[in-house]
Amino acid sequence: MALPLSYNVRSLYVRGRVTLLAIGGIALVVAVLIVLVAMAMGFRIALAATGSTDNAIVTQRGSTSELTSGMTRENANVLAVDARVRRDANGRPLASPEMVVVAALTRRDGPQVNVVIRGVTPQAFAVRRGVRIVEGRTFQPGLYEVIVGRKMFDRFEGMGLGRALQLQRRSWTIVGVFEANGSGFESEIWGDVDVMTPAFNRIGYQSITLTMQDPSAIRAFNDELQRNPRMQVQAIQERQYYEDQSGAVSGALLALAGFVAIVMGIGAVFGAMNTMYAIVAARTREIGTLRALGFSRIAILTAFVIESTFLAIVGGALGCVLALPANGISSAAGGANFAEVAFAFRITTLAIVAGMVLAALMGIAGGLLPASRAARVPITAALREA
Amino acid sequence: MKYFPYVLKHLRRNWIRTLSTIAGMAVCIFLICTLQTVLDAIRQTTENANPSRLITRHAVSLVFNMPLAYKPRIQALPGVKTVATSNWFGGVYRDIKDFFPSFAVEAEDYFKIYPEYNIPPDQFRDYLQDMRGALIGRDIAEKYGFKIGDVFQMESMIPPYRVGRPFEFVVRGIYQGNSAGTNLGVMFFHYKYLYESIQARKGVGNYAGAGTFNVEVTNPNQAAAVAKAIDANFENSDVQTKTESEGAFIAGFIAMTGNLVALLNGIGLAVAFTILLVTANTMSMAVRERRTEIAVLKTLGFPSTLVMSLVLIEAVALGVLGGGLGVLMAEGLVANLHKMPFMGLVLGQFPGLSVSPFVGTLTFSIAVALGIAAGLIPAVGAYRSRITDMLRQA
Repeated sequence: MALPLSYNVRSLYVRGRVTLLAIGGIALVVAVLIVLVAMAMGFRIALAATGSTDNAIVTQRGSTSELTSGMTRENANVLAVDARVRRDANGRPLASPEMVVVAALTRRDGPQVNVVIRGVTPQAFAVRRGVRIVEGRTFQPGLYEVIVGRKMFDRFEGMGLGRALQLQRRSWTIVGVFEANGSGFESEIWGDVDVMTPAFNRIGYQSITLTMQDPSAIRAFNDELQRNPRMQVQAIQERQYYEDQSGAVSGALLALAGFVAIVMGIGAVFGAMNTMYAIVAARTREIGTLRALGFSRIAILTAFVIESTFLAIVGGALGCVLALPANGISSAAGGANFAEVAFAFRITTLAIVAGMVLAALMGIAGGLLPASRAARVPITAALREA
Repeated sequence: MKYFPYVLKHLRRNWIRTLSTIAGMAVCIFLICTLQTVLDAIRQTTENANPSRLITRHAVSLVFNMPLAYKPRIQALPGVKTVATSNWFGGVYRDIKDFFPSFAVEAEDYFKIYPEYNIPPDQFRDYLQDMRGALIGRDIAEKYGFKIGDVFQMESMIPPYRVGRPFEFVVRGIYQGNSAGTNLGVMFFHYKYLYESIQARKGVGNYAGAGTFNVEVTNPNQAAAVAKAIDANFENSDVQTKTESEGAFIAGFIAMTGNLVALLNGIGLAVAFTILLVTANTMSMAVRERRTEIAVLKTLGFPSTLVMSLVLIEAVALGVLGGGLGVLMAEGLVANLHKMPFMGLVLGQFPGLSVSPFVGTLTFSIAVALGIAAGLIPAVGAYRSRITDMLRQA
């Protein structure tokens, strides 16, 4: 016969202070894990949001990022008029040929970091439907005008509508601020590709993004391009492209999260173990009584493991609450184009589940030894004691 | 000192609790020590920077090259000792997974500026005589089994350096480090080889330029002035430059990885707090168990301060043992940590990590301080307690 759960809950309540300290330890571990996972997820989500599933991005074959890609204007034109590319109401293809360079600009908090400067055509806003101007207006083709992503605008020196950015001996007027659902584009500066390409001494484009009529055909499209001897290009779904780029950074963050959680978790398990030992020791007589009443060793063992798991889950829940303020914190990390991408921490369900599972594991691990001691209490000795 | 056996006896009394507290503390201190070692490695990279070295790059960013003709113009400035052209090649050997940094450099000047690369003189001579020659660090040689004379191919990730076929190299030298912080995972080859391969395909629109000019100044105290003079020299040119100290240049790369320093410090703080909770837990249990004894000690006439100190010493002993063990663990494991399956991602860029005496002392002091902090409340409780209450409660 098993012991009622309320027995465990109440007994934790009785030994409040020691229990609280153990709960606090577990809560901290869970909080750290959740914050780190939230950071990795935030970065991944920001990059994934950059890409659309409808679009294919075409880059030079073998290149790992737009920055290390190059294609001629002729190739881009051939790609744009492909029959599989969707067209707008005016019959123009939804194709966005782009130039990408990076410039070192000064962040408000001091250091100079690289920022992506993207030359685009007006058609870019039809291809990237998530991008919209929130302040000012868009750049006028043919002029030295730029629009700046929201995250970049808020974090760098010298930003302001009407102010000018000095790059390549030219003055680029900031005429607008755009948002793009928190994605990587918000860390970029956009301007007219035909003005920027000669200004930055570039030839041709870095990439062309195409909105496909049938998004499921991107793979077949790529297979065909890979075999095409006319141009050295490859195509990949845009979302996939940006997700792949987040791999290294979010992978490193998840590895760090795993390492820290495991090591810290071991430390906190010892704390929980001490608490449970104290609880068992204080209740030796009670355990003896329970055994005398006919509760089996297994029932006692289970009861104490449950008690410690319960303690840990309370700690885990507290850890989730502690971690909550981290949601939305903005940070930045190096993206693929040798430039910085700003992102917001995202506490996802996955982060919460990982935290709670870790808490439960800590509870079980910390409770097992003390519970087995409780189960081995000899009835007569226990009753005689104290 | 005569009370020492008394403290030890107490620690042994509930040995399971003592051991698990020490173990818990040790793993946490191990973690803090590891994090601090990484932070220290980051600090070292900027601090080890040579104050007499400057890096000149294109004013917009490193992605753009500068005209080669800038070299003699920099060389001619007063206070400049040596100038070497250096280009990030971004070569990929076999697969992107086997990536290691590769630079095209003007060897005669470059290695004058960077004497920390220890190249055997005969190998260096062979290298200078072979257009396809490559100098590789010992770490690369060990990892891929390269020997002198081996031929290998690499293709660059950078569009202008993709000349239609891979570059072929011959290993002519394997260098060691003259100081502990030398990066033994870099490959160098002749700038001329890169230049001529690109020139051969001039019609395609590729052109060769200088990625950075690495400048050595005669007097490190004038480095800032020389840096200004270099940039002023090209102020009115089509391509402007940005010159900064080697330390600032490296710091820029670290800033690019995001707020790593704040992140690691934040984790460290949370870990320290966990230790505090675990140890405070133990100490408050220890004092509660011993109420009668404390009362008896006081009855016998031992002053309250002594009773308090005994509790504190016990807490400090926990800190010393846990901290010592944790630091020892870190010393044993930190060098091998990057070999663990997933840790390489985090620590791979810091080869040869080791716990410096500074970090060891720092983390050990943290452990002891946490021990004292954890013992403080129970100790004060023991100090304040009234004999009669304690005897009655027991």
